[in-house]
Amino acid sequence: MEVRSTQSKGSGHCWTGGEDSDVVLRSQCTLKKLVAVNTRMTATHRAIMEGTVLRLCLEYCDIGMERHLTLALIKCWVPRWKAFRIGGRRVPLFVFDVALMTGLPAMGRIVELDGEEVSSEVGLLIRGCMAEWE
Amino acid sequence: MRRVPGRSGKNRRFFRNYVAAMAELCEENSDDDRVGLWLQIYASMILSGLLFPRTPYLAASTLLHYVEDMNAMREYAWAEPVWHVLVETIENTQKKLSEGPFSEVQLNGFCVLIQVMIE
Repeated sequence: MEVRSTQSKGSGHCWTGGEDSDVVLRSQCTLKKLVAVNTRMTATHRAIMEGTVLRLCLEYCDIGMERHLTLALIKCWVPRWKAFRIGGRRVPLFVFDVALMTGLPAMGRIVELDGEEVSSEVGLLIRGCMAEWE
Repeated sequence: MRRVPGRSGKNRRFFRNYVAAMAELCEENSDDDRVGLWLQIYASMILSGLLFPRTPYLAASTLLHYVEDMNAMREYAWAEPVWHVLVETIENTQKKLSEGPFSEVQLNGFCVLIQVMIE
């Protein structure tokens, strides 16, 4: 995913400087590929997925990143508030907002993002697929 | 990333990124008798490619063990780390842009959520 911004400097409420005209925003978020896989999914696979915590991923749409909006929102972010400041109003981004948007649970055991890597069958398969590259 | 010399072949497929590899693995393991493995690969693709993407060449390997037990996976608060990575990328990007002119900025995480929330 790649988007290009031609937005001028200083349009965000919290922006404190820096040239950002013509900035290329790159994202590795692969929503488009996931939606493509979803469309090819068999009824059996869909039924199995619907029994998992990730079931709402089946309903995701291919939403492209809107470059101007994304960059403007990043500029409007106020770190100490964990919120956007838009039109003089504070618009917080809570974990529960993410839960509502994604369908993922907000409560439960803690996920260790930087935990120790454990050998798994899927990990070995992926590494095998990519073994020809370094 | 470059191809290892001498290991290429006409019938071999090569993957420059893990998401393409996972999509291919989903196809290869789509038979009904391998649904368990298919489900793990598909869930890995969601974790590494959608919820916690960081680089095009490295899957979220520290998370892959979570997909080994899909029933236990529902016990975790997945929205919290998605939020955490999203906030981290917003703040890092804002900081980077304020430090000087950049022609390119990398966003991590499920960054389209930023605009979904406002829309």
